[in-house]
Amino acid sequence: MSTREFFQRGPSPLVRLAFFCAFSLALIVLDTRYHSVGFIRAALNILIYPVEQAAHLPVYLFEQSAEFFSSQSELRASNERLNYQLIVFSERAAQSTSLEKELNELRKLNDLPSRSKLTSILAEVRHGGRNPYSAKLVLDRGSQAGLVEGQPVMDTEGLVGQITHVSPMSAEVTLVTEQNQQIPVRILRNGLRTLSEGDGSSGTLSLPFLPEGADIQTGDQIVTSGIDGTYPEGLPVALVTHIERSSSRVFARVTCTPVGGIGRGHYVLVLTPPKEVDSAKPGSAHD
Amino acid sequence: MISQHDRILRDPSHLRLIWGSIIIAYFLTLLPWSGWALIIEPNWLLLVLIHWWLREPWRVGQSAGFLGGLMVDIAQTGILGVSALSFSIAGWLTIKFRTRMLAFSPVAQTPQILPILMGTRLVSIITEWLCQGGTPNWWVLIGSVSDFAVWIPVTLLLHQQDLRRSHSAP
Repeated sequence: MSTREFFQRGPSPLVRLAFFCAFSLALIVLDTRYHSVGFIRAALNILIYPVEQAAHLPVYLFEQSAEFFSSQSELRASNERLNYQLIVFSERAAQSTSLEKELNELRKLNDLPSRSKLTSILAEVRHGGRNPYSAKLVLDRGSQAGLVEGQPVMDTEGLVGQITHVSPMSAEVTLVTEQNQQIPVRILRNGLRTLSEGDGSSGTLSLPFLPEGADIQTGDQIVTSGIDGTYPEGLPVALVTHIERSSSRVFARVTCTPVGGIGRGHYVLVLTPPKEVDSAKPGSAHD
Repeated sequence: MISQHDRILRDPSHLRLIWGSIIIAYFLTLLPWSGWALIIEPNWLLLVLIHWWLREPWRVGQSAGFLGGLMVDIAQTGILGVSALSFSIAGWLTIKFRTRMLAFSPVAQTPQILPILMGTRLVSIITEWLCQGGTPNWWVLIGSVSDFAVWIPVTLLLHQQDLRRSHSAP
Protein backbone atom coordinates (compact mmCIF):
# COMPACT_ATOMS: atom_id res chain seq x y z
CA MET A 1 0.00 0.00 0.00
CA SER A 2 1.43 3.36 -0.91
CA THR A 3 2.11 6.11 1.63
CA ARG A 4 -0.48 8.25 -0.11
CA GLU A 5 -3.27 5.98 1.07
CA PHE A 6 -1.87 5.28 4.49
CA PHE A 7 -1.19 8.78 5.74
CA GLN A 8 -3.81 11.35 5.11
CA ARG A 9 -2.54 14.74 4.06
CA GLY A 10 -4.24 18.11 4.19
CA PRO A 11 -7.25 19.12 6.27
CA SER A 12 -9.42 16.43 7.88
CA PRO A 13 -12.68 15.41 6.13
CA LEU A 14 -14.69 17.26 8.79
CA VAL A 15 -12.79 20.51 8.19
CA ARG A 16 -13.28 20.07 4.43
CA LEU A 17 -17.00 19.45 5.01
CA ALA A 18 -17.27 22.63 7.12
CA PHE A 19 -15.48 24.61 4.39
CA PHE A 20 -17.70 23.31 1.57
CA CYS A 21 -20.87 23.73 3.64
CA ALA A 22 -19.93 27.33 4.46
CA PHE A 23 -19.14 27.98 0.78
CA SER A 24 -22.46 26.42 -0.31
CA LEU A 25 -24.44 28.41 2.25
CA ALA A 26 -22.71 31.62 1.16
CA LEU A 27 -23.69 30.86 -2.46
CA ILE A 28 -27.30 30.14 -1.42
CA VAL A 29 -27.55 33.44 0.48
CA LEU A 30 -25.90 35.42 -2.34
CA ASP A 31 -28.24 33.83 -4.90
CA THR A 32 -31.53 34.07 -3.03
CA ARG A 33 -31.09 37.34 -1.14
CA TYR A 34 -28.81 39.44 -3.31
CA HIS A 35 -29.11 37.85 -6.81
CA SER A 36 -25.39 38.46 -7.14
CA VAL A 37 -24.09 35.13 -8.49
CA GLY A 38 -25.38 35.68 -12.01
CA PHE A 39 -21.85 35.81 -13.40
CA ILE A 40 -21.02 32.34 -11.94
CA ARG A 41 -24.24 30.96 -13.38
CA ALA A 42 -23.57 32.56 -16.78
CA ALA A 43 -19.96 31.25 -16.87
CA LEU A 44 -20.98 27.69 -15.92
CA ASN A 45 -23.89 27.81 -18.38
CA ILE A 46 -21.43 28.56 -21.18
CA LEU A 47 -19.27 25.66 -19.98
CA ILE A 48 -22.13 23.13 -20.10
CA TYR A 49 -23.68 24.51 -23.29
CA PRO A 50 -22.08 21.98 -25.71
CA VAL A 51 -22.87 19.00 -23.45
CA GLU A 52 -26.42 20.26 -23.02
CA GLN A 53 -26.85 20.63 -26.77
CA ALA A 54 -25.58 17.06 -27.24
CA ALA A 55 -27.98 15.78 -24.53
CA HIS A 56 -30.90 17.47 -26.26
CA LEU A 57 -29.99 16.16 -29.70
CA PRO A 58 -31.78 12.76 -29.41
CA VAL A 59 -35.02 14.43 -28.28
CA TYR A 60 -34.70 17.08 -30.99
CA LEU A 61 -34.14 14.41 -33.66
CA PHE A 62 -37.13 12.44 -32.37
CA GLU A 63 -39.36 15.52 -32.53
CA GLN A 64 -38.12 16.37 -36.00
CA SER A 65 -38.73 12.85 -37.28
CA ALA A 66 -42.18 12.81 -35.65
CA GLU A 67 -43.00 16.05 -37.49
CA PHE A 68 -41.65 14.60 -40.73
CA PHE A 69 -43.88 11.55 -40.47
CA SER A 70 -47.02 13.46 -39.48
CA SER A 71 -49.85 12.52 -41.80
CA GLN A 72 -51.10 14.66 -44.65
CA SER A 73 -54.56 14.92 -43.09
CA GLU A 74 -53.02 16.32 -39.86
CA LEU A 75 -51.03 18.87 -41.85
CA ARG A 76 -54.11 19.85 -43.84
CA ALA A 77 -56.17 20.26 -40.66
CA SER A 78 -53.42 22.33 -39.08
CA ASN A 79 -53.14 24.46 -42.21
CA GLU A 80 -56.88 25.09 -42.26
CA ARG A 81 -56.85 26.06 -38.59
CA LEU A 82 -53.97 28.46 -39.13
CA ASN A 83 -55.66 30.00 -42.16
CA TYR A 84 -58.82 30.54 -40.13
CA GLN A 85 -56.79 32.11 -37.31
CA LEU A 86 -55.04 34.34 -39.85
CA ILE A 87 -58.36 35.72 -41.07
CA VAL A 88 -59.62 36.31 -37.51
CA PHE A 89 -56.38 37.97 -36.38
CA SER A 90 -56.11 40.09 -39.56
CA GLU A 91 -59.54 41.51 -38.83
CA ARG A 92 -58.58 42.12 -35.19
CA ALA A 93 -55.28 43.71 -36.22
CA ALA A 94 -57.11 46.10 -38.57
CA GLN A 95 -59.53 47.02 -35.77
CA SER A 96 -56.69 47.41 -33.31
CA THR A 97 -54.75 49.74 -35.65
CA SER A 98 -57.77 51.97 -36.12
CA LEU A 99 -58.51 51.98 -32.37
CA GLU A 100 -54.90 52.75 -31.57
CA LYS A 101 -54.93 55.69 -33.97
CA GLU A 102 -58.15 56.95 -32.44
CA LEU A 103 -56.76 56.55 -28.90
CA ASN A 104 -53.58 58.42 -29.77
CA GLU A 105 -55.62 61.28 -31.28
CA LEU A 106 -57.78 61.45 -28.15
CA ARG A 107 -54.64 61.41 -25.97
CA LYS A 108 -53.18 64.23 -28.05
CA LEU A 109 -56.37 66.27 -27.65
CA ASN A 110 -56.17 65.81 -23.88
CA ASP A 111 -52.43 66.60 -23.74
CA LEU A 112 -51.56 63.05 -22.67
CA PRO A 113 -48.37 61.38 -23.93
CA SER A 114 -49.06 58.77 -26.61
CA ARG A 115 -48.27 55.17 -25.78
CA SER A 116 -45.09 53.81 -27.24
CA LYS A 117 -45.23 50.42 -28.93
CA LEU A 118 -43.93 47.23 -27.37
CA THR A 119 -41.01 45.53 -29.00
CA SER A 120 -40.60 41.78 -28.74
CA ILE A 121 -38.10 39.03 -29.39
CA LEU A 122 -39.22 35.56 -30.47
CA ALA A 123 -37.55 32.73 -28.54
CA GLU A 124 -37.82 28.96 -28.53
CA VAL A 125 -38.33 26.98 -25.33
CA ARG A 126 -35.36 24.62 -24.94
CA HIS A 127 -36.53 22.72 -21.88
CA GLY A 128 -38.59 22.98 -18.74
CA GLY A 129 -35.76 23.80 -16.37
CA ARG A 130 -35.30 20.22 -14.99
CA ASN A 131 -36.00 21.51 -11.51
CA PRO A 132 -38.31 19.45 -9.28
CA TYR A 133 -38.74 22.37 -6.87
CA SER A 134 -39.76 25.20 -9.16
CA ALA A 135 -41.38 25.45 -12.57
CA LYS A 136 -39.21 27.29 -15.08
CA LEU A 137 -38.61 27.52 -18.79
CA VAL A 138 -35.22 27.85 -20.44
CA LEU A 139 -35.15 29.82 -23.69
CA ASP A 140 -32.68 29.50 -26.56
CA ARG A 141 -31.96 33.25 -26.56
CA GLY A 142 -29.87 35.13 -24.04
CA SER A 143 -28.06 38.39 -23.50
CA GLN A 144 -26.51 38.10 -26.98
CA ALA A 145 -30.03 38.52 -28.43
CA GLY A 146 -30.67 41.50 -26.16
CA LEU A 147 -32.59 39.76 -23.38
CA VAL A 148 -32.30 41.22 -19.87
CA GLU A 149 -33.54 40.17 -16.45
CA GLY A 150 -37.03 41.31 -15.62
CA GLN A 151 -38.56 41.13 -19.11
CA PRO A 152 -42.07 39.64 -19.30
CA VAL A 153 -42.59 36.55 -21.45
CA MET A 154 -45.85 35.63 -23.20
CA ASP A 155 -47.18 33.10 -25.67
CA THR A 156 -50.20 33.16 -27.98
CA GLU A 157 -52.62 32.77 -25.05
CA GLY A 158 -51.21 35.13 -22.44
CA LEU A 159 -48.52 35.90 -19.90
CA VAL A 160 -46.15 33.01 -19.16
CA GLY A 161 -43.67 34.54 -16.71
CA GLN A 162 -40.67 36.77 -16.25
CA ILE A 163 -36.98 36.38 -17.13
CA THR A 164 -35.00 35.87 -13.94
CA HIS A 165 -31.53 34.83 -15.15
CA VAL A 166 -29.78 35.60 -18.39
CA SER A 167 -26.72 33.89 -19.86
CA PRO A 168 -25.17 34.82 -23.20
CA MET A 169 -26.98 32.01 -25.02
CA SER A 170 -29.94 31.18 -22.78
CA ALA A 171 -32.40 32.73 -20.37
CA GLU A 172 -34.46 31.33 -17.49
CA VAL A 173 -38.11 32.23 -17.18
CA THR A 174 -39.82 31.99 -13.80
CA LEU A 175 -43.47 31.14 -14.43
CA VAL A 176 -46.43 33.15 -13.16
CA THR A 177 -47.53 30.10 -11.15
CA GLU A 178 -44.24 30.02 -9.23
CA GLN A 179 -44.31 30.55 -5.47
CA ASN A 180 -43.67 34.20 -4.48
CA GLN A 181 -44.10 35.41 -8.06
CA GLN A 182 -46.38 38.44 -7.73
CA ILE A 183 -47.92 40.37 -10.61
CA PRO A 184 -49.99 43.57 -10.46
CA VAL A 185 -53.27 42.65 -12.14
CA ARG A 186 -56.81 43.90 -12.63
CA ILE A 187 -60.11 42.18 -13.25
CA LEU A 188 -61.06 42.92 -16.85
CA ARG A 189 -64.82 43.10 -16.14
CA ASN A 190 -64.73 45.88 -13.54
CA GLY A 191 -61.16 47.19 -13.49
CA LEU A 192 -60.57 46.14 -9.85
CA ARG A 193 -56.82 46.21 -9.21
CA THR A 194 -54.97 43.70 -7.04
CA LEU A 195 -51.88 41.44 -6.94
CA SER A 196 -51.73 37.85 -8.13
CA GLU A 197 -49.44 35.33 -6.49
CA GLY A 198 -48.25 31.95 -7.79
CA ASP A 199 -49.29 28.88 -5.81
CA GLY A 200 -46.19 26.84 -6.64
CA SER A 201 -46.44 23.19 -7.57
CA SER A 202 -50.25 23.20 -7.96
CA GLY A 203 -49.85 25.23 -11.17
CA THR A 204 -52.46 27.84 -10.20
CA LEU A 205 -52.49 31.47 -9.07
CA SER A 206 -54.34 33.16 -6.26
CA LEU A 207 -55.50 36.71 -5.58
CA PRO A 208 -54.61 36.93 -1.88
CA PHE A 209 -55.44 40.59 -1.26
CA LEU A 210 -59.06 40.80 -2.43
CA PRO A 211 -61.47 41.72 0.39
CA GLU A 212 -64.11 39.19 1.31
CA GLY A 213 -66.90 41.25 -0.31
CA ALA A 214 -65.00 42.15 -3.49
CA ASP A 215 -66.88 42.05 -6.80
CA ILE A 216 -65.40 38.95 -8.39
CA GLN A 217 -67.02 36.01 -10.14
CA THR A 218 -65.96 32.63 -11.42
CA GLY A 219 -64.88 33.00 -15.06
CA ASP A 220 -63.59 36.57 -14.64
CA GLN A 221 -60.58 37.32 -16.78
CA ILE A 222 -57.48 38.62 -14.99
CA VAL A 223 -55.13 40.85 -16.99
CA THR A 224 -51.98 42.77 -16.08
CA SER A 225 -52.65 46.26 -14.75
CA GLY A 226 -49.33 47.65 -15.97
CA ILE A 227 -49.08 49.59 -12.74
CA ASP A 228 -45.45 48.73 -11.95
CA GLY A 229 -44.00 49.28 -15.42
CA THR A 230 -42.62 45.72 -15.53
CA TYR A 231 -45.59 44.10 -17.24
CA PRO A 232 -47.34 45.99 -20.05
CA GLU A 233 -51.01 46.67 -19.44
CA GLY A 234 -53.72 44.29 -20.60
CA LEU A 235 -51.86 41.00 -21.03
CA PRO A 236 -54.18 38.07 -20.20
CA VAL A 237 -52.91 36.31 -17.07
CA ALA A 238 -55.56 33.93 -15.76
CA LEU A 239 -59.21 32.99 -15.39
CA VAL A 240 -60.92 32.85 -12.00
CA THR A 241 -61.89 29.23 -11.36
CA HIS A 242 -62.76 29.05 -7.67
CA ILE A 243 -63.88 31.57 -5.04
CA GLU A 244 -64.20 30.76 -1.35
CA ARG A 245 -65.77 33.41 0.86
CA SER A 246 -66.05 33.21 4.61
CA SER A 247 -67.22 35.85 7.08
CA SER A 248 -64.47 34.78 9.49
CA ARG A 249 -61.77 35.94 7.07
CA VAL A 250 -60.81 39.40 5.88
CA PHE A 251 -59.78 38.24 2.41
CA ALA A 252 -61.53 35.91 -0.02
CA ARG A 253 -59.69 32.85 -1.32
CA VAL A 254 -59.59 33.22 -5.08
CA THR A 255 -57.96 30.55 -7.22
CA CYS A 256 -57.17 31.21 -10.89
CA THR A 257 -55.92 29.06 -13.76
CA PRO A 258 -53.23 30.64 -15.93
CA VAL A 259 -54.16 31.19 -19.57
CA GLY A 260 -50.56 31.25 -20.82
CA GLY A 261 -49.47 27.86 -22.10
CA ILE A 262 -47.38 26.95 -19.05
CA GLY A 263 -45.41 23.94 -20.20
CA ARG A 264 -47.29 23.60 -23.50
CA GLY A 265 -45.99 26.23 -25.89
CA HIS A 266 -42.91 25.80 -28.02
CA TYR A 267 -42.33 29.44 -28.90
CA VAL A 268 -42.67 32.51 -26.70
CA LEU A 269 -42.36 36.27 -27.09
CA VAL A 270 -40.06 38.21 -24.81
CA LEU A 271 -41.47 41.70 -24.42
CA THR A 272 -39.61 44.92 -23.84
CA PRO A 273 -41.95 47.26 -22.01
CA PRO A 274 -41.97 50.89 -23.21
CA LYS A 275 -40.39 51.91 -19.91
CA GLU A 276 -36.73 51.15 -19.30
CA VAL A 277 -36.45 47.58 -18.00
CA ASP A 278 -33.48 48.41 -15.75
CA SER A 279 -35.83 49.24 -12.91
CA ALA A 280 -37.77 46.04 -13.46
CA LYS A 281 -35.44 43.51 -11.92
CA PRO A 282 -36.98 40.16 -10.90
CA GLY A 283 -39.16 40.46 -7.85
CA SER A 284 -39.49 44.23 -8.19
CA ALA A 285 -43.20 43.77 -8.72
CA HIS A 286 -43.70 43.32 -5.03
CA ASP A 287 -40.79 45.37 -3.69
CA MET B 1 9.46 1.30 -6.27
CA ILE B 2 5.93 1.71 -7.66
CA SER B 3 3.40 -0.77 -6.34
CA GLN B 4 0.89 -2.61 -8.53
CA HIS B 5 -1.91 -0.51 -6.99
CA ASP B 6 -0.13 2.75 -7.85
CA ARG B 7 0.43 1.55 -11.39
CA ILE B 8 -3.28 0.94 -11.79
CA LEU B 9 -4.06 4.35 -10.34
CA ARG B 10 -1.63 6.06 -12.71
CA ASP B 11 -2.94 4.09 -15.65
CA PRO B 12 -4.55 6.60 -18.03
CA SER B 13 -7.37 4.16 -18.82
CA HIS B 14 -8.32 4.16 -15.12
CA LEU B 15 -8.48 7.95 -15.10
CA ARG B 16 -10.47 7.81 -18.31
CA LEU B 17 -12.98 5.50 -16.61
CA ILE B 18 -13.40 7.91 -13.67
CA TRP B 19 -13.79 11.00 -15.86
CA GLY B 20 -15.85 9.15 -18.48
CA SER B 21 -18.33 7.89 -15.90
CA ILE B 22 -18.67 11.34 -14.33
CA ILE B 23 -19.25 12.99 -17.72
CA ILE B 24 -21.81 10.34 -18.75
CA ALA B 25 -23.64 10.79 -15.43
CA TYR B 26 -23.73 14.57 -15.97
CA PHE B 27 -24.90 14.03 -19.56
CA LEU B 28 -27.82 11.97 -18.22
CA THR B 29 -28.63 14.79 -15.79
CA LEU B 30 -28.75 17.22 -18.71
CA LEU B 31 -31.39 15.26 -20.66
CA PRO B 32 -34.61 17.27 -20.93
CA TRP B 33 -36.38 15.69 -17.94
CA SER B 34 -39.81 17.11 -17.14
CA GLY B 35 -42.99 16.39 -15.17
CA TRP B 36 -43.03 13.09 -13.29
CA ALA B 37 -39.81 11.96 -14.93
CA LEU B 38 -38.14 14.81 -13.06
CA ILE B 39 -39.40 13.49 -9.73
CA ILE B 40 -38.29 9.92 -10.34
CA GLU B 41 -35.04 10.85 -12.08
CA PRO B 42 -32.11 9.24 -10.25
CA ASN B 43 -29.31 11.42 -8.95
CA TRP B 44 -26.98 10.10 -11.69
CA LEU B 45 -23.96 12.16 -10.77
CA LEU B 46 -24.29 11.44 -7.05
CA LEU B 47 -24.44 7.67 -7.67
CA VAL B 48 -21.24 7.74 -9.72
CA LEU B 49 -19.53 10.01 -7.17
CA ILE B 50 -20.51 7.68 -4.32
CA HIS B 51 -19.01 4.77 -6.23
CA TRP B 52 -15.69 6.61 -6.62
CA TRP B 53 -15.77 8.01 -3.07
CA LEU B 54 -15.93 4.41 -1.86
CA ARG B 55 -13.13 3.16 -4.09
CA GLU B 56 -10.96 6.14 -4.96
CA PRO B 57 -11.33 8.83 -2.27
CA TRP B 58 -7.78 10.06 -2.97
CA ARG B 59 -8.72 10.73 -6.61
CA VAL B 60 -12.35 11.78 -6.25
CA GLY B 61 -12.54 13.74 -3.01
CA GLN B 62 -15.00 15.94 -1.21
CA SER B 63 -14.24 18.84 -3.55
CA ALA B 64 -15.64 16.72 -6.41
CA GLY B 65 -18.89 16.52 -4.43
CA PHE B 66 -19.07 20.27 -4.04
CA LEU B 67 -18.23 20.97 -7.69
CA GLY B 68 -20.53 18.19 -8.92
CA GLY B 69 -23.37 19.60 -6.83
CA LEU B 70 -22.72 23.06 -8.24
CA MET B 71 -22.93 21.69 -11.78
CA VAL B 72 -26.20 19.92 -10.92
CA ASP B 73 -27.58 23.23 -9.60
CA ILE B 74 -26.69 24.81 -12.92
CA ALA B 75 -28.26 21.93 -14.87
CA GLN B 76 -31.45 22.14 -12.79
CA THR B 77 -31.62 25.95 -12.97
CA GLY B 78 -32.00 25.85 -9.21
CA ILE B 79 -30.66 27.94 -6.36
CA LEU B 80 -26.87 27.91 -6.61
CA GLY B 81 -25.43 25.95 -3.69
CA VAL B 82 -28.34 23.65 -2.75
CA SER B 83 -27.02 20.50 -4.42
CA ALA B 84 -23.45 21.59 -3.67
CA LEU B 85 -24.36 21.51 0.04
CA SER B 86 -26.17 18.16 -0.09
CA PHE B 87 -23.46 16.52 -2.25
CA SER B 88 -20.72 17.80 0.12
CA ILE B 89 -22.51 16.16 3.06
CA ALA B 90 -23.00 12.94 1.06
CA GLY B 91 -19.29 12.94 0.21
CA TRP B 92 -18.27 13.33 3.83
CA LEU B 93 -20.63 10.57 5.00
CA THR B 94 -19.48 8.14 2.28
CA ILE B 95 -15.79 8.75 2.93
CA LYS B 96 -16.35 8.48 6.70
CA PHE B 97 -18.04 5.08 6.46
CA ARG B 98 -16.22 3.74 3.39
CA THR B 99 -13.99 1.28 5.27
CA ARG B 100 -17.04 -0.34 6.86
CA MET B 101 -18.99 -0.37 3.60
CA LEU B 102 -16.13 -1.83 1.58
CA ALA B 103 -16.23 -4.89 3.84
CA PHE B 104 -19.43 -5.80 2.00
CA SER B 105 -20.00 -6.80 -1.61
CA PRO B 106 -21.30 -4.04 -3.96
CA VAL B 107 -24.85 -5.43 -3.69
CA ALA B 108 -24.68 -5.77 0.11
CA GLN B 109 -23.51 -2.15 0.35
CA THR B 110 -26.85 -0.95 -1.02
CA PRO B 111 -28.83 -0.80 2.28
CA GLN B 112 -26.03 1.34 3.73
CA ILE B 113 -26.00 3.64 0.70
CA LEU B 114 -29.77 4.24 0.82
CA PRO B 115 -29.70 6.49 3.95
CA ILE B 116 -27.02 8.62 2.26
CA LEU B 117 -29.11 8.90 -0.93
CA MET B 118 -32.25 9.78 1.04
CA GLY B 119 -30.34 12.16 3.30
CA THR B 120 -28.99 14.03 0.26
CA ARG B 121 -32.51 14.54 -1.07
CA LEU B 122 -33.77 15.51 2.40
CA VAL B 123 -31.08 18.20 2.74
CA SER B 124 -32.05 19.58 -0.70
CA ILE B 125 -35.78 19.59 0.16
CA ILE B 126 -35.23 21.37 3.49
CA THR B 127 -32.79 23.92 2.01
CA GLU B 128 -35.19 24.70 -0.85
CA TRP B 129 -38.06 25.02 1.62
CA LEU B 130 -36.08 27.40 3.85
CA CYS B 131 -35.16 29.53 0.82
CA GLN B 132 -38.49 29.53 -1.03
CA GLY B 133 -41.06 29.10 1.74
CA GLY B 134 -44.40 27.42 1.05
CA THR B 135 -44.77 23.67 1.42
CA PRO B 136 -41.71 21.39 1.26
CA ASN B 137 -41.75 19.28 -1.91
CA TRP B 138 -41.66 15.82 -0.28
CA TRP B 139 -42.34 14.19 -3.68
CA VAL B 140 -38.64 14.58 -4.41
CA LEU B 141 -37.99 11.82 -1.84
CA ILE B 142 -39.67 9.35 -4.22
CA GLY B 143 -36.55 9.70 -6.36
CA SER B 144 -34.63 7.79 -3.66
CA VAL B 145 -36.38 4.64 -4.90
CA SER B 146 -34.94 5.21 -8.40
CA ASP B 147 -31.55 6.01 -6.85
CA PHE B 148 -31.78 2.72 -4.98
CA ALA B 149 -32.80 0.80 -8.12
CA VAL B 150 -30.11 2.35 -10.32
CA TRP B 151 -27.33 2.16 -7.72
CA ILE B 152 -26.80 -1.62 -8.09
CA PRO B 153 -26.35 -1.67 -11.91
CA VAL B 154 -24.23 1.51 -11.79
CA THR B 155 -21.83 0.26 -9.11
CA LEU B 156 -21.64 -3.25 -10.60
CA LEU B 157 -20.92 -1.87 -14.06
CA LEU B 158 -18.22 0.51 -12.84
CA HIS B 159 -16.74 -2.15 -10.55
CA GLN B 160 -16.64 -4.64 -13.41
CA GLN B 161 -15.02 -2.11 -15.75
CA ASP B 162 -12.53 -1.24 -13.02
CA LEU B 163 -11.60 -4.91 -12.49
CA ARG B 164 -11.30 -5.49 -16.24
CA ARG B 165 -8.89 -2.57 -16.57
CA SER B 166 -6.95 -3.61 -13.46
CA HIS B 167 -6.42 -7.09 -14.91
CA SER B 168 -5.36 -5.72 -18.29
CA ALA B 169 -2.93 -3.20 -16.66
CA PRO B 170 0.75 -4.09 -17.28
